Amino acid sequence: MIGLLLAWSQLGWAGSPSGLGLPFLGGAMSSPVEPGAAGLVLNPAAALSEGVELLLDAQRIGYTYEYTLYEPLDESSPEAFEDSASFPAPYLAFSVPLSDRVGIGLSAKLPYARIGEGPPDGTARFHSISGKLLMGELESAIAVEVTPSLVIGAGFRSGLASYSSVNAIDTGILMYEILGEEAEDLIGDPFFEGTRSVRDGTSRPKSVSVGFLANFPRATLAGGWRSSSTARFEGEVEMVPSNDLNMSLKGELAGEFVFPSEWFIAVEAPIGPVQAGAELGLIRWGQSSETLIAIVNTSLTTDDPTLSGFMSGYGLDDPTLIGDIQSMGKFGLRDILAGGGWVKGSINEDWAGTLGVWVSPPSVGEAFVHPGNADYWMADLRAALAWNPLGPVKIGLSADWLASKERVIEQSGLDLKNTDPESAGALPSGNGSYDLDMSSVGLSLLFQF
Amino acid sequence: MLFVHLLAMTATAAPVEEGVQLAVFPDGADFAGHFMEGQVFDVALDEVALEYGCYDTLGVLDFNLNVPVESMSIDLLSQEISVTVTFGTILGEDMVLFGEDEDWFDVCPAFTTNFRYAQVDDLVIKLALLPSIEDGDLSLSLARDVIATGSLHTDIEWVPDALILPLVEDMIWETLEQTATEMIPDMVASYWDKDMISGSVFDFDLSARLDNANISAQALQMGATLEANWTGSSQCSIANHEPEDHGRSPSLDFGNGNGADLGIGITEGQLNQLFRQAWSDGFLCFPEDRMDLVFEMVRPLIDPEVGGLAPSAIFSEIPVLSIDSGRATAMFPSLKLEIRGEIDGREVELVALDADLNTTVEIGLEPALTALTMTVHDLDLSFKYLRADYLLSDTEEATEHLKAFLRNWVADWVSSQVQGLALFATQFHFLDTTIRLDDISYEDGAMKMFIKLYDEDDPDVDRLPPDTSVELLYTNPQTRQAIIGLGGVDDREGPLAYAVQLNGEGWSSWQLEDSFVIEDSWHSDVLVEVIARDNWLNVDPSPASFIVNLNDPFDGTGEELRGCGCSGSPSPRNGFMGLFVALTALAYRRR
Repeated sequence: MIGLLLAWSQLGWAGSPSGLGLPFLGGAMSSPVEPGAAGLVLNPAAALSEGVELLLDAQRIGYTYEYTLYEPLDESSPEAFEDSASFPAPYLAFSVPLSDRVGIGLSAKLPYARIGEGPPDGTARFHSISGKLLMGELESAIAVEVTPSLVIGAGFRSGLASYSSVNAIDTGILMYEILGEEAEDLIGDPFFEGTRSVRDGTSRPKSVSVGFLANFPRATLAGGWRSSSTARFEGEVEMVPSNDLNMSLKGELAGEFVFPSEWFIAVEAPIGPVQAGAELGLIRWGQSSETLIAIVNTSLTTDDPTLSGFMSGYGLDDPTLIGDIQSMGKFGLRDILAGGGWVKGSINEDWAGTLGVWVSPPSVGEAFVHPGNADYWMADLRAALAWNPLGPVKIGLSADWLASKERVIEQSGLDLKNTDPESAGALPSGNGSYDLDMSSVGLSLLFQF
Repeated sequence: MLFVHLLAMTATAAPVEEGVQLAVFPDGADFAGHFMEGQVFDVALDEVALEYGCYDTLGVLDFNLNVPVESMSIDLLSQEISVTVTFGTILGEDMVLFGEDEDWFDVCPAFTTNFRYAQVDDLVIKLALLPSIEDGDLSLSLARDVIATGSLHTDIEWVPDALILPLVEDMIWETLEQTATEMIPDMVASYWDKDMISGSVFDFDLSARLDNANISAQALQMGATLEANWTGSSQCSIANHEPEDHGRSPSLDFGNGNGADLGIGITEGQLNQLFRQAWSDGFLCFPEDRMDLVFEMVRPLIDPEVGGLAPSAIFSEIPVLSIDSGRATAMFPSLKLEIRGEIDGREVELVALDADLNTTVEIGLEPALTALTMTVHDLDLSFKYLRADYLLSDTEEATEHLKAFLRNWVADWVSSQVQGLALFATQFHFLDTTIRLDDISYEDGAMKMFIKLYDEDDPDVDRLPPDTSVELLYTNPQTRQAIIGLGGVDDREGPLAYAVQLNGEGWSSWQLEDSFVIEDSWHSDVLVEVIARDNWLNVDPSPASFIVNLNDPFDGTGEELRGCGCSGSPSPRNGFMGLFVALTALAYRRR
């Protein structure tokens, strides 16, 4: 299960405080200091707006991911692998004032998402062949004006997480763990190469958030806390101990993943003709560094009808024969402090613009990095335009370019012979270079009634 | 002249070249004398008589002698075996001396008189014996007349003629000499006859025939042909074709034995002949009920819950062994292995393979275990076919991957498991004699074993068992493992072997390591019992014992536990591996 969980930590790079896991969430007009629908992306205190607001935002995120592993398993010359894809990231929010002092809001977003796919025979197949982790979140919020300058809010977050992954496994490692040095040669033996698939992993994690908005004469201050949410995934797991064998282990996934808690604080103030803002966030990825995973009700199965009858006849498909499989994964995640700043101002009566930059460090420790979880020092450079030609309707356009620093790993703690549960784990070495180019364009519609 | 010629023939006899070659060294030859010491023989004849002078018959009725043997020494000379027997006081009593004469014209009157006793003191008989083979057995014949010395005293009530007395005494001497001449060579020969290497050993009936003998000052050397019949039953149909002989049968030079009493050499040709015989008897056919040996080897990987499969194996062609200096090589052509099962009454072949198996086998001695050990090197599998249609997926290289796995890792693993595997004990007791195999050596075409004999009073024999001790070194509740330290005190220096029993569930095999790893997933408290054994096979009758609480962490060593050949119940992951290996390699039917 180690590989499974490492795939989850692919989210580590998504650490900008302004957009949870996705740095550009919310679109052109979003900001933690904004009241109303545009602020609900992070701050429940934004639920108190002057009128009813509805924000629709659609982002298209594209990326090009390139890595080169220095030590391919087959001892061939290192070759670069490149993967490019794009996926949507929608955001929907609306806020309704119940009175002058109380407002409610509802937002739906995709705060965590990562999808990737590689060749089944690629050099990184043991780290990941394909993976998908999506977290949709519906947050209901209530905000109360405590004083004319202070609004506090609280939110209840209901998530729907989906997970699937496929990666190659080396059963030779398991033999090595059990038998010791005499089974060392089995590591990397083609006969012991199999696959592990997790399908239909779903969870409905619950969490809360609190925040405030303080309007001072010359500045707006916002802050808050979003609790961690624990996703208890249930799904199907199939482990093929050897691709050469006509049988597999099937079981039910019973694993947990903790989406981290976040603290944030932001300020925006007029400076000359523009509004300048800054935000700082602490994302507690360290909470996700260890995870217990279990596969229960495990049984040996086969697609071959003859072998199936054989196994059934001899009791080899009895789940009690194998028992539950448990493991504790260590992923080397650490808390990160990220932040950014922006300026925005009106261009003319109908147009306003925003320029900003957000910087986040990697959350995956060097020893743990591999093609399935690499993250980076990233700078999210954003340019956004808002057009208000129709009174209650604003149209926003945004473009983000995430500049990342190539990550070169030379001291990987991953080693196929590493059976120490306290260290990085038994996977092929992650020594290599990793680079990610990412960009996004988005269209927002904000209705203010 | 004939006598001299016979000696010359013996001295220049051709070297022994038979399949089994025996060497009785001087100490071993002399050891046979121990069996004679203290033995008492009774000579009892109704009548001993001869014709003497004017007497038709002059003799002794109820002739009896009580003959105690004090000692017997046997020396190997360059051309003969010298046997010296020393007797205690020999006594004959209550006999009748008589004389009969039917003639009336002479002066020899018939008489009968009491022969009260005859006593022989300090009798020493020396024999020079020449070895030869008759009807497949050792025969010792006199090289020359025996030499007997001693003093004879008689007490006869009345003797009619003074000349009769010397005649009677000569008669007694001759009877003694004749008895010794008839008995002693046969008795000495009986200690070194073919029965030394005949009899039942495990499931084999060994039958030897001595073919030739050769004497030198270093050893009495004999050549023999050995036949072995496997007494087990086989359900296999063995191809009935006459195998060709294979292997060399060189003449072996045992030297002076390096202090050994006996040497036994077995040649490559003899071993192959024995293998051929055993093979044709079905010994190398392993139907399901004879797979226990294989199961024992794979038991660390097999989950006991896996049951029901029916494995079988047969070496369908004759194995061939070669012995070279330092090693023996075995070729097992055409090993056929099958694992079958049933589905709805229909038999299904799960795995079937036919492979040539070549390996180097080293038979050695482990003095501390007092056992003959077997070590396997360079196990090589060459596949003729491998079928596992149901087990293997339809990937293109599945069969080749499985072959490579079996040919490389499994072969190496089997080799690693058969390292110093104790086969048979090298110490036996027979007729108050301790027999120990002391050394094994190889040369081109043969292997030689050297044996030492100890009588029951030999101070070299250790008869005191060691006193066992045991201590807890390490306990890890998380892994459910513990290490115990094994020790013991013995009256002699030398390593001890240990056996361990957990929860009274049966003793482990003997091991030399002074620590033992316990793994138990189910019990918190484990009763540990340990016994120590010295290399004279003296076993401590009182096991050392204590209870290990696996929930109580303890670290007296810091030693890391992993990859151990642990005892105890299988963990779930072991279960998985057991299942995996069971299905890919071998399975065993539980009964």
